[in-house]
Amino acid sequence: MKMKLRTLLATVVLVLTGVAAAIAPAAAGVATTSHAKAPRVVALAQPLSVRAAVAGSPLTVAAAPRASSPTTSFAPTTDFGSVRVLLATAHKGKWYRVSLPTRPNGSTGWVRARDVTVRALRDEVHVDLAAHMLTWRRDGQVVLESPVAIGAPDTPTPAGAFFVTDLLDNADDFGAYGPLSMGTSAHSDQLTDFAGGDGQIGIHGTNDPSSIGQSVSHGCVRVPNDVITQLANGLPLGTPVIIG
Amino acid sequence: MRLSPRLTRTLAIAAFAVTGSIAVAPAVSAAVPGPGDLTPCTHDCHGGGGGGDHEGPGDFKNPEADPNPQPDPNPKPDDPTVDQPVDHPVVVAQPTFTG
Repeated sequence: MKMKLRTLLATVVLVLTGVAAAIAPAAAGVATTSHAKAPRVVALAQPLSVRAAVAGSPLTVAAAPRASSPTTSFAPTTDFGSVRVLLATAHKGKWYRVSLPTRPNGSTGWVRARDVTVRALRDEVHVDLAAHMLTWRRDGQVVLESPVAIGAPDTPTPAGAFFVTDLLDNADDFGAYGPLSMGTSAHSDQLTDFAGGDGQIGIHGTNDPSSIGQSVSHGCVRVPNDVITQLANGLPLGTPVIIG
Repeated sequence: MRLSPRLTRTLAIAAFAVTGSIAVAPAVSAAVPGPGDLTPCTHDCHGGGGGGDHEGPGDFKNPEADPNPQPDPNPKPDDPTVDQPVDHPVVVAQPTFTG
């Protein structure tokens, strides 16, 4: 009887010890989860168009997500008069990483979240150079597909991830650019000036429909006029344009 | 049956330990959040099986608790407003693209 009671008491002590050991890490866990983690670059679930929070103000872009980093200022409007919009695809803490409409192609910078307003983008344009095909998707669903003309071998259309910077009514419905055109953040790697511009790559209509499906342009993407009308009237500034 | 003094003392200590644990347990349970409640919840708390004042699965939301939550005045960069009108100003201009 004496031995059984001792065995029982030893069991009780062991159980209590186990309970105490189980509670201690849980309490410690609350404390360890409260410390702040260092920000890291995180891809956005949805691309965002970015513009200055104060209309008419320039957009200040930093080289790195730090207050002390060197900055570049972008005018409130483009050379064509469009509102300045950039494309954000990632963030680090309270900073957005944005694609820039400057050379070299693929340039990026950082803007403070508090300095800009953002809008979620649902559309994406993909230009398949080998297939001479343009595809417009909204929320991942194909809206439109069209054959296109792309750059000739000596003035190829540059590949990369870009975005729409301008939506233009060309005024001349029967000109070489067709009735409407879209400027992109891409620039020709061969031409640094063209027709008074700096070699900016556009997507536009044409007065030469027979060129569609061929590699004949100076780098721009030509589409049939009915297609550019749908694109320019349906896509917002900042829309991602993937060329490859 | 007559217990020895040594066994009586051991039994008394064990009884005191068990009684103390029962008294302390509720306080410990309230202070330690359960799974899903590691971040302190201030309003609109759903889910999680924590103790204390946190709502667990299946709990009814208190209608008096923050009935009209205000938007965060300083939203995080990864919480954009999705349902915004599209940004679509067409400008009349002569293009100078590479053509």
